[in-house]
Amino acid sequence: MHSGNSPRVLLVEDEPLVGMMIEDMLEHLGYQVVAVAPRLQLALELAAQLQFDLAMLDINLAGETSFPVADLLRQRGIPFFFVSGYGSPGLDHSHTYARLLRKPFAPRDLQRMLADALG
Amino acid sequence: MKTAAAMAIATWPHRGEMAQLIHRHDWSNTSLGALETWPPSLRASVDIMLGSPLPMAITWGTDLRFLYNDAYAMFAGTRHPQLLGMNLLEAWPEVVELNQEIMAAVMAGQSLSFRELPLDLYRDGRHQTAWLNLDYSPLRDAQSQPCGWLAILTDITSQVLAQRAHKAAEEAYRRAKEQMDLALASGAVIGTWIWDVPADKVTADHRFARAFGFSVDEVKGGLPIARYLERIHVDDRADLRASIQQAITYGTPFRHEYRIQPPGGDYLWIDSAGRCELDAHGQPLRFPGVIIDIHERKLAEQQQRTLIHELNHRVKNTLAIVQSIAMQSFLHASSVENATEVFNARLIALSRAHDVLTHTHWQSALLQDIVRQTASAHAPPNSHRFRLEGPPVRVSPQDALSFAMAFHELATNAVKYGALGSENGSVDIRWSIEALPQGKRLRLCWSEQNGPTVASPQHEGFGSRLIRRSLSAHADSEVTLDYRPSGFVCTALIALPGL
Repeated sequence: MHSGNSPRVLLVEDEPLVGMMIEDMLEHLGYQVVAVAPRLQLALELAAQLQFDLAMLDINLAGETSFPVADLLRQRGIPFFFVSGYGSPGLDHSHTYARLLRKPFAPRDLQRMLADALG
Repeated sequence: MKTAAAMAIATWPHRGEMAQLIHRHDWSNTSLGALETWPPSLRASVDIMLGSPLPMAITWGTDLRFLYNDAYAMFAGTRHPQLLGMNLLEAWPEVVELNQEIMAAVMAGQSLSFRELPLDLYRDGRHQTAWLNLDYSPLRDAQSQPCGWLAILTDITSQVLAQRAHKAAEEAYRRAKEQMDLALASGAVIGTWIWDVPADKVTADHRFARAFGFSVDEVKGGLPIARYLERIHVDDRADLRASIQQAITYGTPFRHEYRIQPPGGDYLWIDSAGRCELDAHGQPLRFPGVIIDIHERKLAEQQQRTLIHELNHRVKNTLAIVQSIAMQSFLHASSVENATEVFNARLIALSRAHDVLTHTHWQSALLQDIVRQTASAHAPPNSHRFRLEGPPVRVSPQDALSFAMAFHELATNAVKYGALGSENGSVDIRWSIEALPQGKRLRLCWSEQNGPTVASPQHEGFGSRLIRRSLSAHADSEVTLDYRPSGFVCTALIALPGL
């Protein structure tokens, strides 16, 4: 956790409208959104370069999956959780045990998931 | 006479029921006359008949008197003993014509044979069909004139019935084989097998062998079942083993769907059905069965599952989009009425974009179709409010939805603050492909003219934010919102993939 400030979140979401809604929810809940990455390539670059405390990963990014971003975050030791309209079948075997927030969700669900992920 | 009669009775050498009955019968009122007066040829014939273990009968004299032995008595059933001494034609009324025919032949001195003659006889209290072999020989009197017959009768009813049952069984087998051949030829059944369980040898036809990637020679002598199980898709083996185990333990019908994976070949979905025969102690003996090709059906089922999964994902995503539209519309609205109006307009814009995508089965959409949808939603047709110009560009379903929502916000702003709010105002929407040093870009330009004088907004609202986000989803894209006094201009350089 970033001391003294609100926790910083990297948001990976390909749907502009949904991204904006989550961004608003996060800010309302007292989190700071460091960036919104709508595609895999940009998400990988930002996940490697930026400083943040937590990432939210939409699984399906315009036909690609965000699993490479998850692998990179594991290496960096940054907590994350997945967001998807899929149930668990959308997760591949290596990510079956990762946290998953199902779309659509209420701000309260998001708050609980954020608290869990940050421990 | 008295002495001669007593002598004849004393010298009657035969034992048995019929011997006694014939001996005691009063023949004096018949053409045969009393027993002791019988001509030697009749006595000799009766002697032969009574001594024979085969059913035999004699008819003698002008009144056709009927005599028979013990074996025949068994054949006559309940008609015995009344039959003895009766007139032949009265004795067997149901076969009068046949007997007349026989009489005519033997009286002409001919012998006569019938083979497998079906006779409807009333015996043992009911009508029964009997099959007989009959052999008739003429009997002659002292003057060598034919005056009766001796018949040997063979009852072959049980052989005929057995033969018929055999024929019926053969017919049933032939029909079953025909049906099996038809099923095999139809392509549904692609193979048959028989597993000799105690010897662990599976023999199979060439189709079965081919499905498993074995040669006909390899399976001819029978292979252990393990050799086949090796060629089952590894994910299906455990379930199949359990299913086989149950069938050979309980003798219950075996039915299982699994994939055959021949070495170096593609897997094949099959359905197999059979049944294990158990012995009296419940031990498995033979286990025959068939395999049926269900590959196409399985693939269709899988495709359907994928589609439903995909549809579920799309619906959930759409619900999340609608949730976002609702939140943005209601949070930033001046009144509930205003919020409802804005929300409805956005929802309809989203729905129209879905329509465009449905036409192409959600493969892609043409940019001009998306733009035209927006134009027709915000101006009557041929009103010259919109000028559209650009080459055909295909965009992904996701980009189509994003662009549609962006155009909707642009048009809504134009109605509220810009060119579409004044009588003579118009909007140009132009797009082109540009080759830039960093790669090809879609240049998209929305420009308004002849509207009221434009001023920059105090702060960026939801609409502007959505426009920026929607048009810049791809990396290395740029969006400029330019509030020129002469008219608002939005320019986007979009790094669309696959340009």
